[in-house]
Amino acid sequence: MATVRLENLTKKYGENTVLDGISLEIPEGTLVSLLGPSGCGKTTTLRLIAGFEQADGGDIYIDNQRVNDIKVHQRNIGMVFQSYALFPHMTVWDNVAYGLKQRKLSKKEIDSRVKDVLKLVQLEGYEARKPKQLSGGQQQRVALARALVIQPKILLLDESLSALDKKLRVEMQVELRRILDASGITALFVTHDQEEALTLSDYIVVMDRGTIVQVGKPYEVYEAPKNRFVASFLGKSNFFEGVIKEKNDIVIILETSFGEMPLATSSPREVGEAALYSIRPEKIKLEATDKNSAAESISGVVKFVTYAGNISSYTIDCNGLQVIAESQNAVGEFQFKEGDLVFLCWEPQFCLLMEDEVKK
Amino acid sequence: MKKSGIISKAFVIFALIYLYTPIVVLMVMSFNSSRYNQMPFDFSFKWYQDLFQNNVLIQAAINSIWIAAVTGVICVILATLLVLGSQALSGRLKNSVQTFMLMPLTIPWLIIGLSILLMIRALDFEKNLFFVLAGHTVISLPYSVLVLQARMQSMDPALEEASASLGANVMTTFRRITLPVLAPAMVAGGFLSFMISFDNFVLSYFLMPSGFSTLPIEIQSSIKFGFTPEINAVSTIIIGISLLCLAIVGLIMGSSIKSLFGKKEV
Repeated sequence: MATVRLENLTKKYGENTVLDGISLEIPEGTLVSLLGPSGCGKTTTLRLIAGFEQADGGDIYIDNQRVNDIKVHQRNIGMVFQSYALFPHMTVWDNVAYGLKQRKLSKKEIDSRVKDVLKLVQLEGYEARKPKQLSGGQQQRVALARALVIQPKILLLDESLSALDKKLRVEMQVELRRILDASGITALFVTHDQEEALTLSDYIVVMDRGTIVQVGKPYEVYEAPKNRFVASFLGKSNFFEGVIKEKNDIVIILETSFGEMPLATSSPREVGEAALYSIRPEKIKLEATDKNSAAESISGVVKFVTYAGNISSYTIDCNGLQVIAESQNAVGEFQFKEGDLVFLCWEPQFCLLMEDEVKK
Repeated sequence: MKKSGIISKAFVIFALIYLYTPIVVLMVMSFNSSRYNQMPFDFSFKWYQDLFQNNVLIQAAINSIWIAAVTGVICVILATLLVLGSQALSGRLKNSVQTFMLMPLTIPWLIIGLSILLMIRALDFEKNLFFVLAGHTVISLPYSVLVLQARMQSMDPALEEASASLGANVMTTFRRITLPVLAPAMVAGGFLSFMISFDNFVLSYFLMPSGFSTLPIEIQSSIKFGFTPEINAVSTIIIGISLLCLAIVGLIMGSSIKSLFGKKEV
């Protein structure tokens, strides 16, 4: 167990800056995921911590020790690769024991530790198999066991579940969480799958174009995204952009390119300022009549209804602006159909001011 | 679908007949007692018995085998070093090195043989076995390189990284991971180079010191000075050995390729 601290970490490939001075602290024993689109620098961050690549600037500390100049094989870091990278010519047992043999442990010690870790990942009885004789999920667990058995200071996982099909992936997420909790290890997880990040991690680090955009607990990042990028990358969001025309404590009137829109929100911005607001589709409640007491709500016409089993998604045309609202199919029948006039209501705290610069 | 199926099958059968009829004739005739390959066919092992009493042919075969074996070993070692070394290079340099390694494939053996012969003369050396081996290595090396390069490219670079992250230094990673993963390709490449060298007539003809002969040279001269079906017999044996080598290569590469990519059973 260890803390990891990145200070002003920078990495360039030629002219191309892939990491632009990121700083991050990963507390002991937590599972942190780096989330972002491809090319955001998340895998580079992981490879820098592992020592596969050298930073062009900044420092990496593990337990307050600067590790920039320590070679990979001396860093004591466990890594689970996207391809698993199991040694094809070795059995499961030899794969897992490999790291322990490098540490010159006694045969007895190696035997008991390999046995324990295979029990942890529930692969007892598979010791003599070669990797090719295992299923994807089993290979993944061997890779995890091989990385855990050396009792690394931190565990790095590079898109480790993305090669599995969806059902198995969800099972492995639960399994991974159980195994990591049992070993109490500090882990850093790279993923582009927002659902995976939300369900697995203690903290999510959202990255974009070589910088960290937002760090927080899953519900914080989801419920209070900082800007348009986070709000649209993690889940779905509706955006309202314009100039504030009138405001009181619970409603503002926003002058947008689609006309004036009354938004239930309490905004720190003053009248006359430009601003961008977002609201999650599931926070919008559709009503046949205006239920907002303080002021009128936005109204629109239902354009499409998409049935997705547990939820229905409504695309509503509000004077040209497409707004998406989702509702639970708890009652088992569609609330509204295409062509209906609806009012969009929500609690003021769900309509969020984004930090993006907005031109007037 | 049915119709095109029949046509494509017919095409394949035609191609196979075209390719292999002469070889099949040769193999069948090695069991025919007639000296002039005449019909009716009369089965006998006569030519095989004669062959094993023909000391010239046997000595030539032994020469061919050891030259090919030494060439094969040299080629595997060189090819492994070249492929591993070129891996460390980047971009343009890597490409040009790879091109140069495969270049001998595009130069006719006749010209390679002639140029080595001219070089020996120019440097005022006698023809000797060292130059025979050197020449055979030049023409056989690209085949080992090709096989090893293919294996190197299909090898997951994360394997070496995984080894390092588990605490193994560069030497241990090479010894315990890289080399074992490459090993099947080394064996396969070695066999291929062996076959190329064993089969080669042109270079041996140019470079062989007098009083020394290989099987291809003996076969060629026996055609000149009176053909006997012993040649059919020895050719049949060579084909048998070739097929065996090929089967071994296929077996090694096949299973190792599978073990690398592992058909994922779900």
